[in-house]
Amino acid sequence: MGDDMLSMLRATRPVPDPDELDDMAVVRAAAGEQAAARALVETYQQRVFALVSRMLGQRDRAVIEDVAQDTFCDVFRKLRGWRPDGPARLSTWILTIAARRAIDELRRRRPEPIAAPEAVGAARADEATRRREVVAAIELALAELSPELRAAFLLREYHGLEYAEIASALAIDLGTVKSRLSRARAALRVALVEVHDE
Amino acid sequence: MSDRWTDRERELLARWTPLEPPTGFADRVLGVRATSRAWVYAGVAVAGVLAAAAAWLVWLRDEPSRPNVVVAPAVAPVRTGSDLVVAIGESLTVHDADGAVAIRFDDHGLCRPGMRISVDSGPDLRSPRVVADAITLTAGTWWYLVDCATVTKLDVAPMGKITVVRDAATRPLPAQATAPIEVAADGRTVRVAYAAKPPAIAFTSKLPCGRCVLHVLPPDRGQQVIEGIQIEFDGPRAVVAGDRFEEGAYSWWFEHDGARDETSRLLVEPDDTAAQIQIDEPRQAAGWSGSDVRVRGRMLPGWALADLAHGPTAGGTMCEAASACAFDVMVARAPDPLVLRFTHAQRGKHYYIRRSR
Repeated sequence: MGDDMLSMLRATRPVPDPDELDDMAVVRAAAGEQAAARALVETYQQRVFALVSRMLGQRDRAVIEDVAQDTFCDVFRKLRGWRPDGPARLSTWILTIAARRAIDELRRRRPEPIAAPEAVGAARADEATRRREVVAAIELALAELSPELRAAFLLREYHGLEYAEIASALAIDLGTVKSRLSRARAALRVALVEVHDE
Repeated sequence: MSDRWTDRERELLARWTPLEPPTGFADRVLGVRATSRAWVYAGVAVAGVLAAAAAWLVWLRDEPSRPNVVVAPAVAPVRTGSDLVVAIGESLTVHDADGAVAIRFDDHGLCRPGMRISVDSGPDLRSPRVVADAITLTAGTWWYLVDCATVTKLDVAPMGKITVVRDAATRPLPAQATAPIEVAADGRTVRVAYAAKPPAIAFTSKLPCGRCVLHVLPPDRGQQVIEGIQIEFDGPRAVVAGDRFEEGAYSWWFEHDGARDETSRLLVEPDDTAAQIQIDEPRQAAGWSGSDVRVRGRMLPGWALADLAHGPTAGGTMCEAASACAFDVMVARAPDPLVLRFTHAQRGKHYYIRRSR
């Protein structure tokens, strides 16, 4: 096969996204095929756990697992409604569901106190301790945000969603997303500077 | 302040490592999914059963307001008029030349605006009910159940059996047997069918009877010897009058000097196919149209022409003769149809219908 033919094929067939499950597998999963359903879970479980665990912060691991599980149950229930040629990639669609589940969980439960970074001596400030301090600072800063903006921040900074996708997923006005995310970044930057300067 | 992160800030943000999914998380999700699907299927099944039950209840609730509908191929409600009025709970046989009779149930005015009638070929009455005062029954045996369409309760047993026979009652009556029926003590079973009354039976023994004893036992009554059937006589043959028998199965044998015949059986049964009533006048479709009508015919012994359901009493005379009796009465301003009611102690009530047109 010549280079011209190959390039033409590439032009007519979209290159599969290695981070996304292929469309046929999605269709088979929606039809109830066990192997395809397993592939879907295994493809997206890390991203779902990442979002949910960051959303819920220091909550019990069991709660995080339950929310992730409920997310996938929702995904399978609604999967026939997702269109490969629609506006959202499958990962975006699944993360949207995960974000909503996490927001529901945050609203359902009373906010848990976020532990402030421990004051430690310089001699004990090893790398692990430093990491815990950074994480605590980030969580403390994000705890000031509403659940929707917290989700918006995580979807933007850790999962790379576009502003429009975030606004659509969370049913927030696009301008509001931009302005509030800007303020969230500023607050987080201050927190990071404090950790960095210690 | 810029919205872009510095490299140092990115490095700090990257230290926030998320939770990893536990081992076997996919299995857990798929297990929950299978369980939830099973619950969904069970829920759908339960919902289906509930919906069917609700539809059935709605159907029951609305049934009284439905128009008259055909219950079964042989049964249909009658909108106006009827051939015969039947007391609720009554069981009877109707003889009609066409084999189709419109029957109205007499509720003594209790059920207004109407009755719910269920008719079926068996006593379980599984056919749907119709709301009507009268129904048409075709040839066959039908069980019926009647109750009021309203909450009114009938104070009678609302169930009965009606047999419709396609019979113009023009067949000649069978002659009563004059000679006794011969049966031998050979161990076999003999069936004797009778139209009106059991005939005389002549029993014959194989024993060298000088002075034999005949035993005739109705088996349904155990080993008790019925008085009068144990007969001592001279010779191998004994004749027992027909009025000593009734419908049933008998065992019988002769006994002599300690020896006895093998036991034989005798089945005495009414012949349901034999004509019982013969109506010579009025003839079917004679066109009397309200004028006086002569009712003439014959009936077998045991029958009584009780009265005329739609006119003056025409008799009430029981035929007690050995052979058939004649009846001959006038009915003034005879209705159409004319219904002749006959009764018999064993055969029950039989209504014979004659139509003017």
